[in-house]
Formats: sequence, structure tokens, C-alpha cells
Amino acid sequence: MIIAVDGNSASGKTTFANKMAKETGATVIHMDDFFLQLHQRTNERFSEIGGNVDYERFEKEIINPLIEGKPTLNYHRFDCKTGKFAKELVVISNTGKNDIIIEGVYCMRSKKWREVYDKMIFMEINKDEQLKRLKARNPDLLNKFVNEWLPMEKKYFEALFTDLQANNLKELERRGKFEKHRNN
Amino acid sequence: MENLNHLIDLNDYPVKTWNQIISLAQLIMKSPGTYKGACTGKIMGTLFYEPSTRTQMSFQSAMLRLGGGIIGFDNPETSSTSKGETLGDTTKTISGYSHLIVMRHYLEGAAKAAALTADCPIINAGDGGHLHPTQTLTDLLTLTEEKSRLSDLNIGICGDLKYGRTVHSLVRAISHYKANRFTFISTPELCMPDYIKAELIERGISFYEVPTLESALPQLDVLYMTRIQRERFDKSDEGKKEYEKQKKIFTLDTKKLKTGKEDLIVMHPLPRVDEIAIEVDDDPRAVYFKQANYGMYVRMALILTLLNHEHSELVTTDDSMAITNDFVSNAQCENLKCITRYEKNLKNRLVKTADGLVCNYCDYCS
Repeated sequence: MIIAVDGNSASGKTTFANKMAKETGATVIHMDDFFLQLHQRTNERFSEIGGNVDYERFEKEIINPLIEGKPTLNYHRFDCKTGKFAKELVVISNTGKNDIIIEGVYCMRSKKWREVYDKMIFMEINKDEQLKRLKARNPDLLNKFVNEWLPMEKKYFEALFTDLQANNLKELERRGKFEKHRNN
Repeated sequence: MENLNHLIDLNDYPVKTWNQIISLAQLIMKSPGTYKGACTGKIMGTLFYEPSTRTQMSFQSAMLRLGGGIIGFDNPETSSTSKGETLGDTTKTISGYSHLIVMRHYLEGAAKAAALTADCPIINAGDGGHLHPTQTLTDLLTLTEEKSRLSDLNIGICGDLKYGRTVHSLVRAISHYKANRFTFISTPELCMPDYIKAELIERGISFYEVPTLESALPQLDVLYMTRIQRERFDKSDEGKKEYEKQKKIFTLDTKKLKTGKEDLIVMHPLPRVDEIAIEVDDDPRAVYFKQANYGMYVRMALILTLLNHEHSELVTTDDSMAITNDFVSNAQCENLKCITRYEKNLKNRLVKTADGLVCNYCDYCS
């Protein structure tokens, strides 16, 4: 199974994915490893809805191989601290023996991507708890979150749900393909 | 063939049996006194066709601690092998003198061939570059003791991943447990063979390939170091330079170890040459000498299990060690180090499988 976990920053996506991986042997792919590269960080890009992720690379390295049924997905992590690709090559088995969990904001950004997923989980959290968690995680990044990243996410989530409604969200929910989890 | 329980290949047994041996080793460590006379009156023969001090002595010490006796040789020059006796005849004879035989051989498939004529259980203590199941059991016990689990581990393996028999067996064994990942740290020349990677992918296991130890270290729960053998490099000046360069990249010192997790453990099958700096020994995360000690306890557990198998639940898998009869030919195995090239009377050499013709003894696939 391919499971996608999207939702608010600090809502518990990574924790959920890692816990599930530990219990079931699933492999986790983090959207954080597909951060925008330096040359992609333009104003034009940031004003694009769902633009704050290297979706070109994600589609090429993850989505397309999944659609083609390739036995492995191969990629290098992008390290946003150093602005470089990590030296290690990640090789993910896609033979169906273990689940693959894709977690992080923007992982449901297009219909093409969503059609690849067997299950989608959207995680929500209330604003106060979110800010508390973000502050605890890294106080230096709080401003960046509040002023830049969270508003970008908000726009993306609105567009995502408009798109989902237009594509029969109810039916997806009925079939257990889409569910919302709310933390606090 | 008599229904004797040999240990030729760990995969002849289900994981349940591995876990039983590991649990027994833990019991022995907890109360060694209880097992003091458990093998009184039993004799273990050690047939070492090539020297391996550590393996031999750990087996001998294991048997002595259980109250048994030991016979054997560690130099075939002084045995009747030098007179031209076949492996089959030697095994047949010695198995009449002992209750258990531990065999180390430089030829691949030797232990399996020996098991055909033996009237007592055979333990494979290494057959050329093929298998070394008691090293794998040692590694599993070390992980169980030092990490308290055999699952949910990121295991880094560093050095010579291409020729290292120990690491191939370890990777295969660990892949039977849940939620483990591997980080392969080597040069492209000495990287993990494709057939091992394909096995992992088939089993649904993901892994990382990293060109330097430094970049891999911070994420690891276990670091398994191996020796980079000089003889793998070209003898030219260029080859020497390359070896020196590689050696440095893949040497563990305290500076590199600083970036490792607090609960990381560093393992090594030993002997070490210079891939781990001596200074690392003082770090509590270095467990390789403990690992050598666990090797003795796991061998005690194995000896006990094989000698008392009628009382225990030693179960083999369906495709156990019996030489199968669905062979296609007795043609020569293409592996130059295969036992069948030297013991001409061995039957049923090649079996047809999905991958092609596979040797019944050394598993070489042509």
C-alpha cells in the first residue's frame, strides 16, 4: 500500500508515519527531503499555490516510478541546512511486500499524485497547539512559519479541499481512501 | 540419509529456531553454573582445514565449559588428509570418535559434503567464502544483548561489502526481522553485490548507499565495521595509493564517532587491522570484544541444542539440508573453489532453479 499523510505543520504527521513504520516495517518518504533547491526559491514560485516544494523532482523520482511499477524508488535527500543534496542514495523497495508512507505538506498536491495513493490521511491541529509545538521545535523558525510557510500552506489546503470536493471527496471517504485525523 | 541435525546454513532453520538458540545463550550467560556438566561424556571433534584461532578456540572453550571433551586438528598437514584421504572418509571416521563435528574448510560446500557421510551432527564453522552461520548467530546475540531488539534498527555496514561473507549472511538474517533498514558504506568498487540488494528489494526492505562513513554515522543504530583487504587492490603504485586513500575514508576514529548516536553500537567480526583506531576501544559504544565473547556463549547454546535435539524443538525448514533428488546433472560446478571439484564421488551436484543451474553444495549459480 502507498499511504500519503498530509496536513498542518506540527500536526503529528512525521510521528504518525514513523510509529507506523516501526510497527509494520513500512518505509517512510519525507516531503522535507524535497525542499526547494536554492535556484527554485523565486517570488514567482512562492506565489504559486503548492509551489513551496520541489514537485518536479518528487514527480520524477517518486510518483512516476510508482505509476510505472518500478521495483525501487531512488533519490538523494535535499538538505535544507546545507543547501545541498546528501551523498547517500536512498533505495526504497516498491515490491509491495511493505507499505510506503509518504508524509509531509504538499504530498497530495495534484490529482495525478493522489491517484497513486491507496490511502490518504489528512492531519489537523488547532492554531494554539500548533504554535506551541512549532516554538518548542525551533523558536528561531517561528517567525518564518507564521509569516511565510503557514500562509502558503493555508492557501494550498484551501485549494486542495476545493479540488477534492470537485472530485467526489465523499466517495473517497466512504471507501476509506481518505480520512481526517484531528490532534487536539 | 539419517535424520541428523547439522548446522550447515542458518537458512535451513526457521527464524524461530535462531531465536531459541539466542534465548538459550542468554540463559547460559545468566547462570553458567547450571550448564557446567551439560555435555559431560560428550566429545567434539574440530576439523580445521584452515586456521581460524578465534572460531576454533571459542568452540573449544564452549565445549569445555559444558563439561565435554575435545579432539581434532587445526593443520591438515598433520592429519591423514596429507596421505590423500577424502573428506568423506575423514568425516566418517572422526564421526565415530565424536558426538559432534565442527568443521572449517577452505572449499565451498565442504560442510554439506561432510554431512553426507557423518554419523554425528556437523557444524559448519566456515566453508571458504560461502557461509559462516555461527558468526551470524554471534552477531544476532550481540544485537539482542546490546540493543535489546532485532527490529527497527538502522544498521550501517562499512568497508568491503563485496567479498565479505560475514556481512552477506548478516544482512540476509536481519532481513527476516521487522522494520530494519541498512546503510551500505563503501566505494563503488567494494559495494554490496546486486544479488543481495535484489533480495532485499524483493523482501520489501529499503536501504541507503553512502560513499563515506562520516555522512552515514549520525543516523545509525549499529555500525558493523569490516576490514578492507589490501589484496583486493591492484599491486601497482596506483593501487597502493588507492588502498591508502580508501582506508582513511573507511577508518573509524574517535573524531568520526563523536557524531554517532549515544546508543550506537560498533561491531566488528575481528580480527581488526587498522579500520578501527585503537582509541575507539575505550568508547563504551565499541562492543566488538564483547561480541567475540558472545560468540562463545552462542556456540555453547548451539552445541547443547544439536546434542540434545531429541529433547528440544529443533525444527528444520522444508528445504532442509537433504541433498535433493531433483537434480539435472552431475556436470562440473563452475565454481573453482567448490568441494565437488575435489571430491569426485559427490552425487547430485547441480539443481535446476528459476535462476539457472545451482550447485547443491556451494550454491554457485551458473
